[in-house]
Amino acid sequence: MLFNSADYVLFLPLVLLVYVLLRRAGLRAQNAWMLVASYVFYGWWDWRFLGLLFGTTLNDYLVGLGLERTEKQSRRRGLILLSIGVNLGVLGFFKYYNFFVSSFIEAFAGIGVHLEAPTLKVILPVGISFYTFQALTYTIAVYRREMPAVRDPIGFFAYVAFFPQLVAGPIERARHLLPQFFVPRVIEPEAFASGLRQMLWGFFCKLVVADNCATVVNSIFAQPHLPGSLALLGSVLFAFQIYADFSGYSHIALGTARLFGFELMQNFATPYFSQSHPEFWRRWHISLSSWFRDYVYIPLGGNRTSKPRQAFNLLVTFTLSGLWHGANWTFIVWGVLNGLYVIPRVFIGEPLARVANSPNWLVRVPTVMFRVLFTFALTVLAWIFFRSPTIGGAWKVITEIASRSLFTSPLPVLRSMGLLTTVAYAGLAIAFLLAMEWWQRDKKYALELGDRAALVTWPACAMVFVVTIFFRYTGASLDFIYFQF
Amino acid sequence: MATTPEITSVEMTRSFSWTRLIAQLLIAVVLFVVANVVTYETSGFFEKEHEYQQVVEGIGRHKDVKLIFSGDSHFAVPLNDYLDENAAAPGYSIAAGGDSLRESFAKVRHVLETTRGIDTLILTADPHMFGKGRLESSNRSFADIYFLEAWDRSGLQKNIWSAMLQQVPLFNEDFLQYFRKDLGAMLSHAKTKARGAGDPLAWSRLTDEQRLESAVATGKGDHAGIGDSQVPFGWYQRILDVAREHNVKVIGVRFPVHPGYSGQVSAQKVAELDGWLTAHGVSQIIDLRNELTDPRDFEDEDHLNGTGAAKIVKVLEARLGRRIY
Repeated sequence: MLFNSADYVLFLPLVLLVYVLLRRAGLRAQNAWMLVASYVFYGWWDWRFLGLLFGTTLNDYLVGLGLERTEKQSRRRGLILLSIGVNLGVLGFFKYYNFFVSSFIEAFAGIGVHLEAPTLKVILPVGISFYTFQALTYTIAVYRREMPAVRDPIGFFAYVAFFPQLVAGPIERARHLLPQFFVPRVIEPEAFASGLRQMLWGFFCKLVVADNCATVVNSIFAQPHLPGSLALLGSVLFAFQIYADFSGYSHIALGTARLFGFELMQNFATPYFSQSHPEFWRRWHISLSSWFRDYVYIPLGGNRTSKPRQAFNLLVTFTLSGLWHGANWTFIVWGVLNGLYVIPRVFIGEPLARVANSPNWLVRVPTVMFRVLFTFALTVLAWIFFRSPTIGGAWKVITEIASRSLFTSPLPVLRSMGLLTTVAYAGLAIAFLLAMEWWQRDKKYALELGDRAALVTWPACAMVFVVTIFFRYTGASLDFIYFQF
Repeated sequence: MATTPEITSVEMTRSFSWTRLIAQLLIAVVLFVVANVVTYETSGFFEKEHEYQQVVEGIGRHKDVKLIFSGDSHFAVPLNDYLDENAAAPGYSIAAGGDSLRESFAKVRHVLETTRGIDTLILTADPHMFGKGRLESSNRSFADIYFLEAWDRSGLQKNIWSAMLQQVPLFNEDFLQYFRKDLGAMLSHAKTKARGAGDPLAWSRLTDEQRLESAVATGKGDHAGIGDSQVPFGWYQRILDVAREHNVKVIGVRFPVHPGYSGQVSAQKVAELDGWLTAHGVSQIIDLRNELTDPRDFEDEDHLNGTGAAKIVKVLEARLGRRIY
């Protein structure tokens, strides 16, 4: 089920109403209801994959119990390897089997050896990359004795399948979210109002910014020949499309969870205002980047190694992060590029940090602006690989941007494609998004207005609501980009 | 990839009660309802929707309707004024400009299920109704109500619940497209006026060459992609099925058009189409495309005017051997 569907408009109040009514029946009843609702939410897309979700959850539940019951290290190691193997095995089979087989065949074909291996028509279950990673945080935490195993299967199954963040995150840590299933949840009016506002902001991001940008981006990237100016426009709009799409989803997820009395981790913190790439990665898809930090980068040695080794660890981590996004070389290049952006900081630190903090605004403002724009430009360059279906396609876009056609006007082409108005809407929406985020940059989301006067809160919410209603994209419903991961 | 940013929340500091929240939500809901009512009452889009549905419901004011016309503007432009204003006429048109066969099906089913005594359906047999330009109609959401009424999701874009939500003016996607287009036109100070608006003889005042040029251009566009999609055939079949269920005879009719317009579809394509229509239950096909040639009978290349309507209805009455007007 999509958040931006009519089904969800019916589903959410119904689930919430029953959930509230079940308060007297106890926590277990509420958890059971959340579990049922989450399975319905997931099964709405394709019920056949409920078995997979159930199976991997059962495996992790049993592994958790097993880890608690044994002190024998070899047995514990076997159990954690079983959990990792099953989760990553399922993920690997559904997501990467065809990619690795075809890459293997192509590699051998390159040296003149022609191999044949079966490729399968595999449907990628929605959200598999998210819930397998989330389930792993549980078994690893129990293995590391950071938390006890959960005995109540209903609470545990509800944690893995928790519908607000099941299909596109945030990838929660068991230590953060799981305990919330076992303490009475009080829905406070402030939190409820805050949840509604965060959902509203999420819908604005998705329906107005992301979907209007998507219409333009999809048309531009479908063109066989792109002048540089159009390629640049498409790339910049894609940067905002993916940000608004994914952060929008996260805001709706966090807002929804808050209505039920749950608090999820923040996933985005105005990343496009970052002044460096390490900062960008502390602000972008926080739940995934911190997952890779905790479960890949630190186990590899993290910062407590030599600088060359740190650089190597970063490159490995970012490459794997790229691969996590999809079974395509373009994602791997995207990951490697981001790794290369971060690595210089290991050796040179933050050369402009002191100037960027200068008390003299004449020095500070231009420095900060330069750093923000430079970081954004590098980010857009990497996004081109993320968006393009092939590395060749991405390279073509980059060479066009670097050519003299960058200085031609994109307006005639946009007009002939009937996209001028949509570009105008997308541009205005982006400006509004950035203005709101700058205004509220120290908050978790742009409509976090609980501490402001009603005279500000009401007009701000009303304006976002009106803009969302009147300027949302109205074509065929567009899926959230991160559903494919 | 180091640490999660430490962003402290300063929210939730003000005292806040459920009563206050509910009161605020109620105010928001009331405002939303008011906004919807205002939108519905003032928007040209919903005025069009109202007119569209009024044409269908207007059949209730005609006591002895035996025969109904269903199709697009080729029927609607000449007939809806001429025929529907005569309450004693046994013929009635539920056609609407821009309708595809999906909308025709929805309305025919509604009318046959709510009106007694209808024995004949004059259904468009125009080739352009099977072209790619009629896969999606601008009247789509106007006809959703008839699918909802029949609890039939087959004609709805998503599902019944989604279509119900679309009935809320501010959630209606077609209205938003109309609104945005209107806003764009207003901002660019564009004024659109149909050729000959207010002058029924405007078409006849053009030269032969001008009429031919216009007819060829329109004909080419309208007849593109005929038969490429099976969707229109599926809807046509459903109209025939619903007519059969109600023991209603279906006659396929094509109204007069400029030869430059009809010349944009080959005789072979038309013959193939006729073959399909008769094989699937159309009892008779009456092709009147070349029946009238005087430009004074036309509003434009493919629509008759009031004068043409009166003439063609007489021709049709003669062919069918029964009264329509």
